[in-house]
Amino acid sequence: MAETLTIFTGQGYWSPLIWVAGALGTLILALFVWSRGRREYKRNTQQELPFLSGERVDNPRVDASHLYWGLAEALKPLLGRLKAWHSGVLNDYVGWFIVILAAVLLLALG
Amino acid sequence: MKMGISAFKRALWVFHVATGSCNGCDIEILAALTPRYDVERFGIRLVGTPRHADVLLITGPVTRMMAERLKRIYEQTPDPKAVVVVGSCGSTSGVFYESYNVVGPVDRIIPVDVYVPGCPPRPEAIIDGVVKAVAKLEKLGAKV
Repeated sequence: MAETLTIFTGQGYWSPLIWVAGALGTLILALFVWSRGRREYKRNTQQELPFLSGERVDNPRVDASHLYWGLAEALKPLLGRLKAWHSGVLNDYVGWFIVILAAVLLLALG
Repeated sequence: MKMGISAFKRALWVFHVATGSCNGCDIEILAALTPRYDVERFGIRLVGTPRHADVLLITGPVTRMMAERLKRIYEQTPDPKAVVVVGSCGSTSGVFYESYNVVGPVDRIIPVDVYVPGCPPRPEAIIDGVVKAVAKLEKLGAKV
């Protein structure tokens, strides 16, 4: 079964069984770490929220956008301008696409 | 070698909060960590979050802006916990007594277990205060 599921690319192989075993191992390790945690904390109090230098935590989540916050902050002048163009209307995007395609074709053919 | 500190059954993790101090007491806390006093040999160490702490070490009078934050830090510290106030300002507001931007001494905001008076107190006094907090923690630990 393992051989029929495994994909050999010539450069290496990809086996879903190894990935499933890896995921199970990670899950077991995570459950072990979790089971070693303290259980006597008070539920529905500040003890459940992350520590942020004593500041109030309104949204105790790590959003995907937090991962590239620094990059977004550094490119704020550029991204701000791009956001302003971002109307959300499909006609605008198709218009931009046609204009840029025409410019690229002119540059490539001219 | 017997150290005479049988109360230390495990490492004691301490979180330091400055609620408006002039940094005099904070420097003495740092002095307690230097090789001369070296409290880490007893297992006492400063940690970066109250979530990991057994003891809150608080310096300075509580300023208006810090009161809410101090309360939150206290609530975030897991039980059993002890609070040690270091210095005269935290104990009584000191020279900042009834100042317009000071809410009061620490015990007006959260319950305090040990007071270490002095302006600033010597590292020996701070270590003595933390040892007294251990006794309280052991008493509480027996209940949990």
